[in-house]
Amino acid sequence: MSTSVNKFDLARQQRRESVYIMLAIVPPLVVTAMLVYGAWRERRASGTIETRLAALVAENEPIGNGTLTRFYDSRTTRSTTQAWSDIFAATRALSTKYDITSESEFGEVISAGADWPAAAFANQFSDDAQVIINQIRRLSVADTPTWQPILFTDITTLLPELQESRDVREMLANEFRAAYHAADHSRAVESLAMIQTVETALDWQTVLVGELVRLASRNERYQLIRDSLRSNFWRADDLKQLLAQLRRPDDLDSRWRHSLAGERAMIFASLRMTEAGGLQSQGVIDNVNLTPFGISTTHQLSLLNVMDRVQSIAGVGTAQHVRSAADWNWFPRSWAPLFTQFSITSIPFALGHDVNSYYVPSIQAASEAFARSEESRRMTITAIGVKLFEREHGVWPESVTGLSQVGITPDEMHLVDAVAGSRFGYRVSRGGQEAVVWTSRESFMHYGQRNADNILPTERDKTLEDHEIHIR
Amino acid sequence: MTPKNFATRGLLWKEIRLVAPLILMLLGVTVLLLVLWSMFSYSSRTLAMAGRYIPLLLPLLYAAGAGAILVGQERENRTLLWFTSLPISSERVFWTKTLVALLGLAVMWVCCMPFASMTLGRDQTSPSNVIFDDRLFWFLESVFLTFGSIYTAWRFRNTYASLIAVLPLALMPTLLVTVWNSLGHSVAITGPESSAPWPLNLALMVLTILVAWLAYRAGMKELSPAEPEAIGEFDDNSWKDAWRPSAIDPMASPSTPMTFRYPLSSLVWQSIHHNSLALAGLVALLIGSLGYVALSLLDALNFGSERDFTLGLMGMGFFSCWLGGFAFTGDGTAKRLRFLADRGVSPLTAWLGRHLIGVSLLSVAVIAYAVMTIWIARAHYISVTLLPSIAMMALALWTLYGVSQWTSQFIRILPAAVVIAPIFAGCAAYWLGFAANQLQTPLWCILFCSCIPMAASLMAMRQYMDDTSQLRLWIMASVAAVVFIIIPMLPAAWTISNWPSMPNSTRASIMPEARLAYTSSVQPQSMMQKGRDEGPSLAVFSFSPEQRLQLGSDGGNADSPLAVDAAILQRALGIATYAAESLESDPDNAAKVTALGEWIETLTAITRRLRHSPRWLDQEAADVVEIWLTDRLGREPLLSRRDEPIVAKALEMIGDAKRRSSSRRSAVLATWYRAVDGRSSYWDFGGMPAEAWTPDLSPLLAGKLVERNSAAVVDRALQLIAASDAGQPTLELRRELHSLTHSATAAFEDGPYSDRMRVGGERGYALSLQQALSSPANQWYAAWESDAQKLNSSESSQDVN
Repeated sequence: MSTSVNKFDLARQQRRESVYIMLAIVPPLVVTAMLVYGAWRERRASGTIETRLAALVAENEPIGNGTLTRFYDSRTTRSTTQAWSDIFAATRALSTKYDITSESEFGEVISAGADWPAAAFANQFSDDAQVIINQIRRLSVADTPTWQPILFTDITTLLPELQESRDVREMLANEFRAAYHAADHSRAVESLAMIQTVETALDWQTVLVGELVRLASRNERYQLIRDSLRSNFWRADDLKQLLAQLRRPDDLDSRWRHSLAGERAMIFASLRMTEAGGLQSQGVIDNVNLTPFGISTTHQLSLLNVMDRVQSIAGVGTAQHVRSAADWNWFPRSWAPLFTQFSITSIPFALGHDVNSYYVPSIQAASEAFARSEESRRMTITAIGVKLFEREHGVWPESVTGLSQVGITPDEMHLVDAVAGSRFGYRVSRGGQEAVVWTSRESFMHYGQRNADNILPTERDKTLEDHEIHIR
Repeated sequence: MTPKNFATRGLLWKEIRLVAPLILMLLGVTVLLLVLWSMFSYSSRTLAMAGRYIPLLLPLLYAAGAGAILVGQERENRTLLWFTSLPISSERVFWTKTLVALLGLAVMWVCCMPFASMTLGRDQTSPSNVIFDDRLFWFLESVFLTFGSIYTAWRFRNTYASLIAVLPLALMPTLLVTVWNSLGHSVAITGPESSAPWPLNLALMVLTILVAWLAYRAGMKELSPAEPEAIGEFDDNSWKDAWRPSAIDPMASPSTPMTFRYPLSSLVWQSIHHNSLALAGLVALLIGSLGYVALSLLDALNFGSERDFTLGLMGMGFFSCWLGGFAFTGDGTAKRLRFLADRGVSPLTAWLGRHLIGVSLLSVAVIAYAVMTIWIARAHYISVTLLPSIAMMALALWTLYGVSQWTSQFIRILPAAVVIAPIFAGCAAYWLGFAANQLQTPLWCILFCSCIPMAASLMAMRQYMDDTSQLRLWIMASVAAVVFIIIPMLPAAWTISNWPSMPNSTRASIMPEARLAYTSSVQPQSMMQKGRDEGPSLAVFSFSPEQRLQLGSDGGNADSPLAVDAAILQRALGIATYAAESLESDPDNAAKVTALGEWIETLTAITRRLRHSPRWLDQEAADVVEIWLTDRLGREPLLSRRDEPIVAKALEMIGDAKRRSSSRRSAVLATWYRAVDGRSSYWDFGGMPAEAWTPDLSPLLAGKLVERNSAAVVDRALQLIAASDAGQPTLELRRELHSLTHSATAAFEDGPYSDRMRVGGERGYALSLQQALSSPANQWYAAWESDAQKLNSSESSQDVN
């Protein structure tokens, strides 16, 4: 056997041996490298989160229960705390006494002289409510919003005052009905203003649910005005006062940002709790906490990114905003990278969208509530403008563009879709006895597409009677 | 007795001796599982339901391992070859083994039934049991599996490979059900409502006959005279030979440097080539499992449906378990490794040699899984949820592998090890999951524990290689098992032992007083006279004069204890507020004066009755009413009417700090005594949910700590009373109460014990009723109390903190 052959065989043999050793060692090394990389990503995400949260704190934005508490305390006044607390308690008692469970107890808005089955009941309730109404009247010039004893405990925070304000609004809505039926103009205008006082008192701009309650209250107020326009009741001065009430400046983008900042703070308070192994994580199934080691920092960062993205959707109160927010529900590719943030070392789950879906509130519903309320406000202003025109000129306007003569701005005559810029529908019917302002909006999400096909608002959908305001 | 009968009896005796260890081990494992199940099933409905399947393990696992133990083990010991040289017909050998296998199965079924009866009723969803529901189906399945394992044992010369080959056979019924369902039927074989239809049972019978025939053929072939084995030729013509270590090349001198340089490489080579069929089977199982997961995920991507990929993950788990079992079976048996020990190979080297390929294959599985999950993540598909992360998969596979290789080290009967290893590994993985979930064991501790089985097998390696007494090996394994069980409990034990509680001295000193407070107390009458089911129409909500009187006294007894109902109290305070507001707007109205007076009187009476209650919550409720009274009596028009009897009586009551403290102390002691004496759960700790004060703890830990935590709350509350009565600061005690009840949700400054939420003085009287009633002692000795005293006397208002 020659030496040269041995050398050749030796090299071949060593190659074989290396292959076997590599076969045994390389895969574990690859896995180790993957895990190390995953751990590095988590660490980097943690650093990014800390930096971002620090920046938010520097910008005076809440990031947890503590900062949210201070944020809330700094925005509210204690000078009216006791008075509003008493109002809520007394109204609750009054509602209990009359067993009022909803506004429907009083029926529709009935004009003077017409038969109102609930008149005796409503008037008695109104008489008893005067004690509280006087108190609200006094508070209409006080500082707002009012501080109430809220203990911020992450996403489980209880806000009983918001629920109780509903009783107060119902009481004031009844006051409006009673005044309207009694043809008491100033009392009717004032009762609507007082509903606005309640809204302002609890206008904390801290939590999304607060905004939604406020929007619900506004809508109820607009509906009362719409219903009241069915009769030839309002005088020109009253109408101007109503217009002034509806035109109070309202920065919707700011409200959106602030309320979502509050939501983000509560979410992060929950995450901190989950980090401690608490059960308030997104997945507790059959008494088993699916994230016993908390939410990974990668997923937390993903949540922060989602909230930033949601918060930065501009144009609140428009159909475009609704469509952007609706993406949240339909998960298009533009949102998906934020949702499906991938974690290598998170235990037990790799993807973060369960976390996001659990914590982030229903963005589309909130956005729609803003847009719907804004459109309702504009439509109500247009309808008041029509009536004011009729009061001042003795005839109905020929078109809504004519409302500029009574001070209605072009924006107020338009639907909330900034792209379309279409005005509300308008017609005079019943031989000139009645004017109708209408829109046949079906859905903010589908509106843009349908409008592009020139279907709306020139062609009415006959089934959408609710979107008409009849003015006499 | 004829020689023929004698031989048959001998054969029977031998076969029974062979299967007996498997039967005993399975019985032991089943008992262990049932004990574990009865210990843990309370916490999970899913686990409670899973208990129904434990008895089924007996016949099914036995069926899976019977062939390997009766045939494979004899082949390994080379006794099978010896049999063929005896004057015993092949048929007799085959049928004796088959008969014993079936007898063993019958024994397993006999044992299974009482176990199945034991699990009856534990499943809350159905009183029935899967075994009793589908007795015929499962029986046929076990018979089929027995013949299946006998067939694979005869068919494959490699025992490990024959055991792995049983798995596809075991899945045959699932395949049948899938085919059956694809024909438009709907049947489940694992649900409580399942009931296998007759075509399925018939198909199983046909399959059983077919497999029995195949087994017979394979057995006859195996037992027939063997062909001489072909002598392998070591030349470079075979592709495999190029990869052999040259040391075994007959042409090479042992002293040449052409052998593998490191013993480790030879061991790796040996791991791969010695049992390549079994390894190939395991790789096939891995590929199949990964394929199933991939198909499920693909399904989600293409059709938007979320398909369950659990079966694929389970397949990966079995792969991991059997890969672990592979470490100390076949070429890794003690006898084989003793050969290495005799030649100076260190235990560490041998251990590494046995694990390098296993860990490498595990890593390949993790890498393949990683590729899939990264692909899913890049596809950004939302419907894929609860996808285990790469680290999770690595940890799970590592744990299963570790426990299985450990099991295979101390259970030396290959089929038993293969059958039992997945059970032990599953139990170990469940234990670590349970520890993480319920004991809140930190991740580092779980990771540490996952390495214990590997460390245990390494430490036992010398004894194992020396093939000395198995007893020592079992003792070492037992110690390691105890360590594995205890370590995850240590963090929880540390938490529990360091949790604040009541000092023993305090406990001893207050016990007599607490007993007296409880035994001398009268159970309070509820504010809700007729029960909640009568709804809002209940007259008490409208508070007629009679009902108001009823709240104020019980049949004329004004000192009868009263239990608060938060809704009624809130409404009562609301009506009283309305009456006060009415009078404020019209101070001279006599009717309104009377109306408010009646309410002041009622609230005073309610407070007195609440103060007599032995429940802690009622003291908090009494505080709420006194706060209301302090607020209203301190304002006009009542302030100017302080001399009127009703107002004076109320003022006297709220100004009596001593009485308030005494009532609180008595109620706190009675509440505590009632709980420690086992007369109430901690969900009703004097009307308050003590178990909810630690929401950051798992239900198990919260349950363990609730007594300590509640005792600590009681202790701090008593200290608060004592400190306040002595005029000492209470801030630190409030901080402690906060940390015992609200530390998980808020910092002290933002919590219910902070000045922010306490009422009285300049901070006003707006109070969150819900908060006041859920946080023990949160308004005690706040500024309202000094306001109350000031109203009743001429002292100044200040918070005692």
